[in-house]
Amino acid sequence: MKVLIADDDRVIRRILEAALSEWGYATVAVADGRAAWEALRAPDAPRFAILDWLMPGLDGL
Amino acid sequence: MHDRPDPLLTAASAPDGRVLDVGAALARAGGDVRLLAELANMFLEDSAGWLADLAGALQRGDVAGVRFTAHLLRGSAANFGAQEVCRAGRAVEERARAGDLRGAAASCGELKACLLRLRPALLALAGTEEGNA
Repeated sequence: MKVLIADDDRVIRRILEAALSEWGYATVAVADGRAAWEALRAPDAPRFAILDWLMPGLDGL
Repeated sequence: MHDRPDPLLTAASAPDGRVLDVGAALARAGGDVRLLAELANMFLEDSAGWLADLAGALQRGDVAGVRFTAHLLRGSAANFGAQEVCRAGRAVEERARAGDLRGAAASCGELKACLLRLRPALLALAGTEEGNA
């Protein structure tokens, strides 16, 4: 399963990417809310998302 | 406002007042020393930019920018159990939230000092020559 990670802190993105891939998940990582929204609307979009709350442009809520 | 414990601090704080908590940081990296070195390098690179962003936001009187950047910085520092940096970042954030930009600027000075104290420990984690000297 593919998981979306959206966080403006790349340290956190990298930690989540490493943990999720260790657990066998594919990941898509983005740095802001608009990119997250685009990723979720794309064909073959991730069905699970881990979203930061405060992000530039568009928040995680 | 100050009643609840700060999850960023309680989740990853150095119990004995060190500038960072290597055990907590390594746990965040899943026990992977090479990943921890990569993360330390990322924080060293990014925190310099965040400090510059903070200074710019303070100069412009951009309260939201100050809050946002201080929040980002302390959130990232929490991954290393950098309690002192988290505390100073929180002070900047809260003073900005209260509309006290002079206070936020003063706290930003403390935040810079905390980051300077953190730097050698992060360089050591990153495995650089400066950190190992």
